[in-house]
Amino acid sequence: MREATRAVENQIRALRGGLGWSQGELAKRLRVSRQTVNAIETGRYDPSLPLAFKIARLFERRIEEIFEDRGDKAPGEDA
Amino acid sequence: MDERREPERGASCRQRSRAVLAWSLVAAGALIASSALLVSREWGTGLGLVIALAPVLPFVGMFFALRRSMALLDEMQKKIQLEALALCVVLASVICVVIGQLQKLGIGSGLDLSMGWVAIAGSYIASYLLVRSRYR
Repeated sequence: MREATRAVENQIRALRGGLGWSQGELAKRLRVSRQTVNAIETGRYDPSLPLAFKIARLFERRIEEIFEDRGDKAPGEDA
Repeated sequence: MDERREPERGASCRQRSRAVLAWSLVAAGALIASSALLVSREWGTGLGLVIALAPVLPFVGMFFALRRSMALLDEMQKKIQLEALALCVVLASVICVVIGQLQKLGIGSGLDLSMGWVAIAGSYIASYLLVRSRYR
């Protein structure tokens, strides 16, 4: 797993914090484990499309407002 | 995903994991006891067969407990299990090959096929911990 370049960044931690929810509470609302929420927030796991839609619905945002594609560029590749 | 099960996810996951662990321990104990009994003395064919195959019952219990437990896994947990199982197959195969080769040299000739579960269980635990650490 490449740690240096994350292909997908997300705003879940900020959105969750804004609502005052714990990871456990978000996990309960998404019906996944707290470990999964933590892995998504830290970029160690990219959610499936259905789960991404579920997250977007929960925060009442569009998917692209929550998840941002940073591309998957090789070192030295032009932007 | 079964929505009806979700409110009890956390507690059920723990309960079902404990059930899998309990069945695993019973199965391991039964296998060890059965092996010890079989080598301790001569048994008749009928009774010997019962003793030899008795450990299969807790393994069946473990199978169903595991199946019930997996029904509650979310998508990342399923991915972790899949990667762990893939690694486990390779690790267990390597262990079996090494033991087989060593036995040809007369080393470890006391090990028999029924103890293969130790290699499989050990490989699975090591693989699971390794894969899980990547998602933490």
